[in-house]
Amino acid sequence: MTRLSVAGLSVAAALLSPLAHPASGATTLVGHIASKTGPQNARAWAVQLMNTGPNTASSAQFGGFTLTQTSGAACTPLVTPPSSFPVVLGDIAPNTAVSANFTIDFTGCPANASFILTIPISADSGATTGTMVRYHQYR
Amino acid sequence: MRSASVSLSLALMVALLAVGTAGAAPTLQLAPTNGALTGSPGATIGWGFTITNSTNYLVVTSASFTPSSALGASTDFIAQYEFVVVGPSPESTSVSQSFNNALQTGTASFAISAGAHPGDSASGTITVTYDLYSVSPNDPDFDPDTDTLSTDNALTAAASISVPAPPTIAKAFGASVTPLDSPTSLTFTLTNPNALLALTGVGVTDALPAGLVVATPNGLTGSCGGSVTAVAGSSTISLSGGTIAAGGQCEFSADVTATSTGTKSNTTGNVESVEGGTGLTASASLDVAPPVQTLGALGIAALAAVVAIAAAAALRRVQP
Repeated sequence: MTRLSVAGLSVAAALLSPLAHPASGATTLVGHIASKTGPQNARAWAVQLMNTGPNTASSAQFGGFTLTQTSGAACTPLVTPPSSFPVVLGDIAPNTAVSANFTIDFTGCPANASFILTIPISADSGATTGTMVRYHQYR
Repeated sequence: MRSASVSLSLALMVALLAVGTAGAAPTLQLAPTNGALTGSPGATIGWGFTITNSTNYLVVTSASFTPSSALGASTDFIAQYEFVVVGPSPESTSVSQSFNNALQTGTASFAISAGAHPGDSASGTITVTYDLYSVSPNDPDFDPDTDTLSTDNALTAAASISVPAPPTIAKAFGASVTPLDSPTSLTFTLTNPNALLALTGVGVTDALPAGLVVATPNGLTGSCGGSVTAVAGSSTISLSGGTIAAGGQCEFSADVTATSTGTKSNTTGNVESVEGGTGLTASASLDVAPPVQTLGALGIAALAAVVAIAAAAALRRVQP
């Protein structure tokens, strides 16, 4: 298993997190991969964060974006986040969502290369935290 | 004009039917079907599943249980430990797995907190996310760049966890006061407070206090199933192996007879069950009165003689 990390975040704890989502606390945030588009060397993954709670989530952010390879010939995707980590999404009103586009260069990765995506999520100055985990992700 | 309108309507209907038959939505069915699980504090339980999908290739990517209150922690089994593809041949359009904690199969496990209490519960939603592909990822020609139809779709199902509470028990004598040596009933009423779970192995033992024994005959009745023991002349009444339906009640009863006067206070042992563990006791008291004095045959004859003598004397006084 190859573990790739941008932003140098440890994901061991996140992978063991029993509740993949939503984030805990009074604010309820749910992560979502809205789309994957573009060529292999510039695949764009739009990751959405939706606030399903009753209160505004202040200063919501993605703390990292980690792809851990689980199948296929080993390769090294290169992730380019929309900004340096944490990717700040800003305030999210109830029942609204904010997206961030991550561009990933999967050059050298076979079509059957599969990954676990892990994204730490936080808001409300750390009072709301959680981890979005998606298994069996193809490029 | 009318003909054109009818043709348009027919075309629309055909189109809608085509959409309906071509795009049956994927479904998720939990096991148990109502998603309701019960377990003891510290236990790990979980849900099985059946996912159906017939028109493209569904790959499960996560599962989570979002409870209404903190009662423990869930772990994704379906995606973390399995690679589930549901779709047409060569895959299967229906995939099922029962929950097995050791084999890590099923939708998700739930570890009930060791600090949970009987009667605690949490309800919520199980969410299974999935991606859809036009070609199975198991196919050598699979290309995610061109075969990805949609990402991070969700199937949801209602689910709940509850920690069973033990049965409750009440008892009552047929009368609050009874004469010595006169039988009266003693009835035990057991209640299952769990709305979704039957209790089995229900049992309780009642040791009668001194001066109170099971009557002859014992007048035994009951609706709890299992085995009720009340031997005539003994001082013990017990139930073992009983069953109470979810949210239901049952009762059993035996006649008892007092062998001495006074107040007889009686408390059962703790009621217990397999699922809910040990519950509380029940108490009741019976006042036993001294026997009513009655005349025997000799007494009645003597009384008759006294009355006859008095009557004869009265007659003599009234005769001239």
